[in-house]
Amino acid sequence: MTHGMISAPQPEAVEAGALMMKCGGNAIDAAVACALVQGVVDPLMCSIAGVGMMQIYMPKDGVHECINFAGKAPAAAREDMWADLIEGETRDGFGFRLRGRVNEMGYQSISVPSSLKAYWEAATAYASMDWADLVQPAIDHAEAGFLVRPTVHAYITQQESSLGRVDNIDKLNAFEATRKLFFSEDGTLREPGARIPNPNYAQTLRRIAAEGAEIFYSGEIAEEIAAEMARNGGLIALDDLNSMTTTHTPPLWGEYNGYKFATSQPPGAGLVLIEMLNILENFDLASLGHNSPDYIRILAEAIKYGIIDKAAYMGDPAFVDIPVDRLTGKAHAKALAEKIESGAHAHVERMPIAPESKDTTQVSTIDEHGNAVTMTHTLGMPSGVISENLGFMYNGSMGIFDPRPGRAASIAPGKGYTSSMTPTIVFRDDNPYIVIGAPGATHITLGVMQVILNILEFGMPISDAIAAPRFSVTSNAIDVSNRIPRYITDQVEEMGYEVRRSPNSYGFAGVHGVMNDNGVLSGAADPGRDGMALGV
Amino acid sequence: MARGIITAPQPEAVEAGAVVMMNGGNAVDAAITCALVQNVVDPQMCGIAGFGTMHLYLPKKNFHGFIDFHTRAPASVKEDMWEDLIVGESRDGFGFFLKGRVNEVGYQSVMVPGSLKAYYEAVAEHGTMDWKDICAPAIKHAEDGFVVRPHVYDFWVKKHDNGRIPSIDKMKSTPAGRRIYFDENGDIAKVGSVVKNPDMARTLRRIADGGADIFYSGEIAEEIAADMAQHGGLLTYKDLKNYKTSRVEPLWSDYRGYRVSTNQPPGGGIMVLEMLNILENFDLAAMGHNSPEYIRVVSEAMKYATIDKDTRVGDPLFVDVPFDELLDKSYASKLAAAIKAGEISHVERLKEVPESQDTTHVCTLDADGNAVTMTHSLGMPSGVVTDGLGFMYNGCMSVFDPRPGRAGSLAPGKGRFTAMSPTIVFKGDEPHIVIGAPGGTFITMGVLQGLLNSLDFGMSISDAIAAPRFSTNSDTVDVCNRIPRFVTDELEKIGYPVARSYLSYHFAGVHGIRIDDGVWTGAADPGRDGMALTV
Repeated sequence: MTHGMISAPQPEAVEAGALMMKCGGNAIDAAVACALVQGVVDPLMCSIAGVGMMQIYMPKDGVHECINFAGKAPAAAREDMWADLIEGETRDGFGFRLRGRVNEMGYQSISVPSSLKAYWEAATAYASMDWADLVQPAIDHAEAGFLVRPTVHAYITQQESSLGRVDNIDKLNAFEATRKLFFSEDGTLREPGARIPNPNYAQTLRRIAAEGAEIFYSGEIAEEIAAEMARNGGLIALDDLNSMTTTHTPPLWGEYNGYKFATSQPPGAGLVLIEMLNILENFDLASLGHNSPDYIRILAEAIKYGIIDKAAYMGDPAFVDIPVDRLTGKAHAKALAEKIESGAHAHVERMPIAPESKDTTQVSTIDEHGNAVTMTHTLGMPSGVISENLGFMYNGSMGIFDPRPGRAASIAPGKGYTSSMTPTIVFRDDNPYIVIGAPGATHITLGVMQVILNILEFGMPISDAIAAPRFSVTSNAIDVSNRIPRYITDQVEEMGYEVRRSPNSYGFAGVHGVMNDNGVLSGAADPGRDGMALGV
Repeated sequence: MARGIITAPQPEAVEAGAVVMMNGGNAVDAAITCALVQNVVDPQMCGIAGFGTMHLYLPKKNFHGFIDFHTRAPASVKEDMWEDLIVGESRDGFGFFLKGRVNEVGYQSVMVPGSLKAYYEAVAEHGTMDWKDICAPAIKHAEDGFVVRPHVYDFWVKKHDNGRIPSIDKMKSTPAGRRIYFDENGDIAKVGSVVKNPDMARTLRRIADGGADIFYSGEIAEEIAADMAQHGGLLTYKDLKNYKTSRVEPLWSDYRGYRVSTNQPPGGGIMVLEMLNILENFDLAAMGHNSPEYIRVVSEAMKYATIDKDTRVGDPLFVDVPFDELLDKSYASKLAAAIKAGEISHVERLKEVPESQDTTHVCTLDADGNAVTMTHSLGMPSGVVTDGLGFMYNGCMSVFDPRPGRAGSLAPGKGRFTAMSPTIVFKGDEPHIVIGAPGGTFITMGVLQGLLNSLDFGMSISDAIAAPRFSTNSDTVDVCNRIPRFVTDELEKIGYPVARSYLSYHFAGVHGIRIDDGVWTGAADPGRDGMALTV
């Protein structure tokens, strides 16, 4: 195991990334090749027309930066454009039902496609291999066909309509090119185990391999996208693609019991991770016992304070002034920890904002040179739209905005939206120790935090740290995995908490991480998804 | 000091067993409490009307042996009773379709149930708790209802590509089944919904009071017999009354200095031992885990064990099993020499029905060093639920060849090979690994790889169980989707057909406990819903 280690939810993508490192590529080569294959083999989770966040660490080159490609509303978007279409809130109180479901699916739901530019920028600045070589595995998979894996099928068939949202299967059925891909000729959904070739995506990737990202943002493909959007009432114009830029920033830093960690800047949720870990630093968690009633109580309270502050202060930093220093300060955390010590229960106001969907994915890599990449990328929610000749699905992120004018999360041209994405690197003695991240919407930060604690506080190997049962708090109730015993949750209930037991044994984000423990690389993929870690 | 550790595929059942040990019960009490809850919360995977094999190691009592509760064909079975009903072979060449699918679903598919008798005898002989207390958690889960977990639902709705009847259709086959598992619209209970089974709770309460006798010779036996008679079933009161578990010694071998104890035929332990004997001739660790060479060598061992199982192993009551030869180290080294020479063996495909995957498992270990590993099952669920009783019967009859005069033909009292192989590995005199798995013919292959990952590669038990597996019980190497293509490409180059599963976790659901210098660790297969719990 000399070249590197990579972890992601799709075995095919992991293998593509691993092979890059095996052939002499670095962690950036691996991450980009992996990400491109992810778009092909997990087509509802991410694509070149998605959004995301990436953190790159290259010690020998003095590079440590975050590329924010979290997506923005197109210039044609207007604050009130959907105000007349509001039919009501979704049944779970999160998000809005609009007439025609224009915010959830279809051309209007598409925010400016960003992922390809970020892959391209990372590759051209930091990769060691040719761009065309990084794209090739994705082309091969698109051509040979991707295997419908269990989580792909489960995601398509999961029931959203009971919550008042459009079922993914209906989104796929609503658009001709998408229907042709995912359904057999007799109209039945392709089953797990089916292999679905996507020659149009292969062709698009081939053009991108030859021409670079430019063809997508200002060349032929940009024109094709703009024409299609115009034909179908979409908001994305050629200008949006031309002017699309990513943001490059240093990471946001936190420190937990002597471990420094670098995480995502707003609009990502890194500051929430820092705040929660700052609070928890005031407790001797290891002595409480892993997933003991008190451990669950203290984490739940820390999480609630994180949620409360996130709801109060988070937004697109270009539009909102976020008191980052105060929220990530140790004094703020100490004051909150004292409330927890006193046994107080924080109260979370339910925020009527649309939840992020679970259709997100992650890649974590580390190589023999000490380079590391952690990238979370997504379609937000799949729009359902695939352009006839292009093959990839567009993000459907516009549904994240509040359709009511005059609110913090209202629509505005060029506005971004907040995200729970938390690609993070934990350092030990100035070297990357844990490179981690997760898909899973609002559960992301909580999942990443629990895995970090499992390693730092409980000394678990990363595979156990990631597989251990998790709980989550997104309101005043505590949601627990079915693997947390009832005799534990009974005691949590006795403390006055509502506990909601999930039928799922795995869940609350899908954490993927790699570790470098004094030169020994290890990695793990969340067993709740299909992935794996591979060292080469 | 921890009192015990337990692992199984159902969190509810694991917890019930753990609480038993927390409250002073031993590993046997915990295993049977767990098993009864498994009956309730995974009611198509196992049941009191199922069968299985239980491996008990009780050092303070100086006891080490098996309670085998293999199912047997009812006495009224006739070799030619289904001959005229043969419609055709199943699409994959395994098994037969009969008119009315009588061997797969319904009353005729039910064989003599063994599970409850084994549970009861284990507690009576080796437990420390009252039988009533053992039954209580299962009664409560049946009464309060169990939450439909992902693996439960998947099994219900899974379509079989070989033409066999999906479970969902079987479950609809009796009014009681429809009432328990379906809503008024005829839709099956979804993931996360609660399924109450008051009839099962009542049956378990009667069993809690009356012991196993009420089921085998008392009121419940009469109710079962009456329902069977009314619906053309083969199972009679006499079959129930005459049913006996078998008490057998472990089958032993050793592997690189470890002593390995497993079950006798008709269980699958002999395959595990033969494979280990062959593989002892190789430096597996040096090959690298799941390297092409490793997969080639282990696959050949799997194939030889499959060939020997198919041609020479069966129910010892009906077949003379050549134990001495199959477990002989020099026989193994002869096969190993062929593997070293690069020979590719050939597995004849037999016309037989594969075991289904609706099986479950529990491993327990307590502070007194007692260990239990038990695999139990419905074979394939018959779909039959007697009105008022709540539990589903096994549907094992389809494992027989409906054509008379064959090795696998029907016969009264006949059992059949099962891959179940609950195994305990000893380091010196102390248990080191307690392991077992559900998963049909994949069981032995899963248990083998769990052992090799732990013993040869030094993996923790959780990594040993979560690591990607393959299975080779034909000429094709079946691999899970986490085995890289750059590995399987190499296998194909040297002449092995490879079939890639779309599943990342597959080929049995291994559950195990590892003991290192008194420190216990346990793990449940991530491909199912389970967990290990130390209390």
